[in-house]
Amino acid sequence: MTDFLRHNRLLIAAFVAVFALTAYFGLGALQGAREFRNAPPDQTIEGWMTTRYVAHSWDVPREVMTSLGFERGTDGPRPLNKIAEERGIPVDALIAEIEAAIAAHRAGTGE
Amino acid sequence: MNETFFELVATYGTWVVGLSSFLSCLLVPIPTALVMLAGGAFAAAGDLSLTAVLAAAYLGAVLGDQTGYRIGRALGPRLVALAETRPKAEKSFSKARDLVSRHGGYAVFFSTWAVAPLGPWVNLAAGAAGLKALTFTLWDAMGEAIWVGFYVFIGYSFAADIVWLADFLTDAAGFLAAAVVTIVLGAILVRRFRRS
Repeated sequence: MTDFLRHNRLLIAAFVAVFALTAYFGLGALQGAREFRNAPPDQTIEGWMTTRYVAHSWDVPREVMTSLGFERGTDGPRPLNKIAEERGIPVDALIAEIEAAIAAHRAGTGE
Repeated sequence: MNETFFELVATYGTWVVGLSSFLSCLLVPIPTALVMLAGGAFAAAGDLSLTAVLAAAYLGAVLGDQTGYRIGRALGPRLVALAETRPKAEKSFSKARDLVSRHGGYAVFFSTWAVAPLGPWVNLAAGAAGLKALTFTLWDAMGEAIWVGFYVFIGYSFAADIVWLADFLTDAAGFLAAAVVTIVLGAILVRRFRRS
């Protein structure tokens, strides 16, 4: 038995290490699943998102974004951080503007 | 951290998806699973084309794996020469080569998705141990289809929740990979214990 332990020291250490990793990731996944059940349905708007992405994830028509005048037709996606930079305003101000537009739209449609 | 990669995809689009999937098959530590998730999500939002995202991710992965395999093949003869100078190493090496030529296809297949962190290493090993190019390519192409398809479609279908999904899937993929390695090491230990 002690011979077995001595000859396989490295392998046993590796086994213990990956077993610990398995438990760590498994518990993380479980906790994540639990959090999701209590999570609010709307993801907070953040600087990495595009206007279309916001419209999609908040389930409002794209026109709500176009009405704010910053969705340029066909030149590819742009994150809000970039739009704010181009406009020379802080991204938080831009996000507040978008949130107000979404709220106004939802109030208008009686949701 | 995850958001940085999401923003890269939002800014440069499909190219980021292809490039990161290529590089991560060559040991560059990029969370490509999350990049694919974002690619799928932006496709759902209408910013990117779903077909383009799928094609870029898949081609990047397959080309990256092929590159790793070729590198392994080019380095293989040197490893053999090195091993031949030490009889004990020679024995283990030819044993490893035997194992790869018998079961190498499955190893390649599962290393593309179930044990993704080991993927780049398996590519190098398969090349160095002389796994047939056709066997490697077929198993690899099937495995990568599962890996790429899974993450892009999850991102596409659950676009509104990718911030949460990114964390959850990182944990879940880590769990799967670690569990597989734990089982393999455990099996080796049990076998050695019975022989001792």
